[in-house]
Amino acid sequence: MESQYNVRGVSLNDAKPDIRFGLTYDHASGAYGGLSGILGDTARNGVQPLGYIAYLGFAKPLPNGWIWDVGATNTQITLYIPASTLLRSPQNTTYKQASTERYRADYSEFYSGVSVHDISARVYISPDYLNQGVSTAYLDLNAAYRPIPQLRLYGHAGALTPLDSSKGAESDREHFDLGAGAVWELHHAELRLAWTGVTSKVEYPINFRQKNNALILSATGFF
Amino acid sequence: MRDEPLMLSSLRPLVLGLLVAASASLGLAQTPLADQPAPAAPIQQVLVMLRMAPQHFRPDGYGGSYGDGEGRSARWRIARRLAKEQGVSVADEWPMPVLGVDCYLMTVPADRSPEEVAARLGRDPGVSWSEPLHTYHAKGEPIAHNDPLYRVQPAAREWRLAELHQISTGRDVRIAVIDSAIETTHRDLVGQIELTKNFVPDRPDIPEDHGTGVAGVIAAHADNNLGMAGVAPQARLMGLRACWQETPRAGEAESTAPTLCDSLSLAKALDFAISHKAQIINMSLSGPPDLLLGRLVDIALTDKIIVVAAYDRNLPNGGFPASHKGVVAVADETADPHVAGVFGAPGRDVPTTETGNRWFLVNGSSYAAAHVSGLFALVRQRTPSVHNASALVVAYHGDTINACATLLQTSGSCDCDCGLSREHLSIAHK
Repeated sequence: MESQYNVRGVSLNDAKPDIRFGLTYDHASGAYGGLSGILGDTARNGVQPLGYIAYLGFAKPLPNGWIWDVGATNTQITLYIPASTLLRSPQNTTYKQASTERYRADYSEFYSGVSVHDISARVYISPDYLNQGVSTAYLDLNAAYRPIPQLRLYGHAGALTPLDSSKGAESDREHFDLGAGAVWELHHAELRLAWTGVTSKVEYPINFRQKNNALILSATGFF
Repeated sequence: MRDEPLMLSSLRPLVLGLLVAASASLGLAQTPLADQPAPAAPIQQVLVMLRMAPQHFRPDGYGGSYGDGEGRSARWRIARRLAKEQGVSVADEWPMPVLGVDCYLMTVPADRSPEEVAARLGRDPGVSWSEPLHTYHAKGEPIAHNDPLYRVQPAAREWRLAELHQISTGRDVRIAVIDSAIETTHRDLVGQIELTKNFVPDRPDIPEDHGTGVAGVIAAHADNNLGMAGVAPQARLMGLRACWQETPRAGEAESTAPTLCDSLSLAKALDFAISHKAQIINMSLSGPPDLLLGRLVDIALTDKIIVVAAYDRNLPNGGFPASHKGVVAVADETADPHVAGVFGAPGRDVPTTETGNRWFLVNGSSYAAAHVSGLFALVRQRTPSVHNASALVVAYHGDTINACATLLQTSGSCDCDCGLSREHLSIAHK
């Protein structure tokens, strides 16, 4: 459970809480995969299934201690965007009412990267990120530190950039996000308090007004 | 005087698909048999290693791979299941990412043997390996206090320490001292300890003699008008407490209380030293070969960390980790007979720091190893890329280390005087 569904610094459900249910599998060979369903509070439409994220990948430790990671994700997500915050109707609007526009995205990303100890870097390529008609690259840098075994502090920096700038819209712009947080780990649960911020006046990738930063509280249970 | 050996216990392997577990233990050095304490009660614990999947992307919405809660939870459940099946209980867990395992400590009922339980766990297809937790002893001899002066240090005379310090002081070289607790407020050590970490949480975290003595040999302040001079007085120590000094029994002097370590606490300390970029790891201890610790030492060596260990004449091949390939094995140079491949360094009548802001004389390979760790810090300051330490050591006949030639890398007709002169000329030229 988390206080908002936030992806790369952008809330995709009008800063309302969401619940995710995930199934993950890690094989000793390094192959892994998972499926995560998302249920979100859409405010004006109540609690609605927002979609799912499926992923499949392979991680391989290298002789120098680094871990190489490659994989792909597929995301199907329905966003309920308050009309009052909409700057321009997205391309894939499937439903419109006075107060809310419903927008459905079905897109894939391919990623590759390396990690060593508590530092990781990955690049994600999407041919049509959030179905905005723009292919993108996202660079993701993360680092974590444990002052005590149960507490993990982390930092994150990301940069999303269009690979084809022919659309001439806000989506041509780079979008940077930063994050930092603390996670308290238990055997079968963890609590997270995080801050995330994005470059000012974020209108990309979806054309609706966004807050530039958010504080997110989440709780995860493992079964 | 004091003679403190450290010994390490053996571990055995088990295997589980996604999981692994293990155990091991260490102890401190040898004393005459007659002086040894009564055998401690057998440790009724085993270590079980469950393999971690490689760190990878997770679509957690905040960047991915900050942690592995799902995997950790799964391994914990598997550990609990294994414990239930074997009638044991999970006592502790410690992730060791550098090895790619989660290590579980399990307590075995008194009516069962840890060896048998470890063997059963080892047959589970999901366990990488398991082995009994072993404990080792160290016992001090009565301490003879002395006026601790530089001129009585063996290294002052044999190693020409003051002259070496004109060339190198080990400035900012990070040495992990895996030992008992160091008295960080000791006047000859204050400011020398960059960090401390206690991997023996169930024991009072108070300064202890062995760790304090080893730290003093390596990095006590020089030229402070106090006590003695460390071999590398500008090195930075990481005081990793993996051993503890037992409470003396009734009628025993405190200084004779044994010092113990176990393989789990040692593994935690090694893992920490590797993760925190130690350049040299000093292990003034010995014990049986241990799979878990051996793998961690291999990773340290791969990461170009120099590992120095005390050689124990009472154990086969000098005991682990001294017997491990790539580890620099060190013995007291005055002890006979010399063993091929084992370097000799000052280890008798060595003044060093003692708890309570005092100094004392110590004996044993523990302190010989500490000398060599300090020497490698001097070498590393001069040549940061050095990591194949054994190949650099210049020794006299009998493998006694020639510290001056090792630091200056002189040989043949150019002796230490010649090397120092060249070095001074070179410095003057610059």
